[in-house]
Amino acid sequence: MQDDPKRNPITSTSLRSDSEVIKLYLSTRETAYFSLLYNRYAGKVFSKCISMLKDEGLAQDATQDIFIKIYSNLAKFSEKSKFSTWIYSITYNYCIDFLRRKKKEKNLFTGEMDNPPDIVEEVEDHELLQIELKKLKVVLNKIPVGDKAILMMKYQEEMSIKEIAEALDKTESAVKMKIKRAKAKAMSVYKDLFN
Amino acid sequence: MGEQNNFKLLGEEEDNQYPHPPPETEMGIMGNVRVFNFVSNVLELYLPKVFEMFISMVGGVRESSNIQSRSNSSDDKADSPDGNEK
Repeated sequence: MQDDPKRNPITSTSLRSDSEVIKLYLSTRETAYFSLLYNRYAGKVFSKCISMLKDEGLAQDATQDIFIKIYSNLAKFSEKSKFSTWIYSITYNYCIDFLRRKKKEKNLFTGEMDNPPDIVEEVEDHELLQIELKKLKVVLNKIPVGDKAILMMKYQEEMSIKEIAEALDKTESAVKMKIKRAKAKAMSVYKDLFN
Repeated sequence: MGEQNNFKLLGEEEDNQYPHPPPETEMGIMGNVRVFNFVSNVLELYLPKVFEMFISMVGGVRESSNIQSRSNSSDDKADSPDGNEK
């Protein structure tokens, strides 16, 4: 069925862009607009939380907390990046913080360990991007969760170094080093398991 | 160029596996959003009044009554023949 904008102004916004819906929500405070944003992104946020936290119950709670965070910071969204990028950076950041707080995962990034590797082997992007799907899944579950998050931000969400740096509250050079170490770690796990 | 990116494929596979969180999650979020909206509306409407009430409780005077008393005192000065306050 097609929406009739005259009959229902809110459902007609389903065709509008994210930034238009955000502006409408901020000016009217009508919860239906926020619900629309939720319906657009809840699935992706939920699946990313499951992928990071590896527990459906925790992922449900995380999704709820993340959307409350999005709601309370919506006025601060500056449109410097895409709305989806902004949401995913909140999601990854939340999951990293959550795991850090739980202290189950003390070393979230390669290089935060007691003896970080001095020399990091340079891994070409295509080597990593072409790892077979099933093997890639195994590799990503074997590396520290911070490494997994940073690789997903870079190669799945295609976030820029600047966007990742803002999301993780790190400098751009620190992010570059973390990506380099994460790639090397992923490749060494891959070689150990499958070569 | 169309370079192969299995990270993207992995993301798509995970999205298809978990298409949407259960409805309770949405209910929880929207419930919180409604409460926050209600509280912020109440604060916006009544907070200034609470401040005014607090000021009058500690013996302060509202700006409007200050202005009135100032204009009254200047009238008194004008009535006095030497221009001094009575």
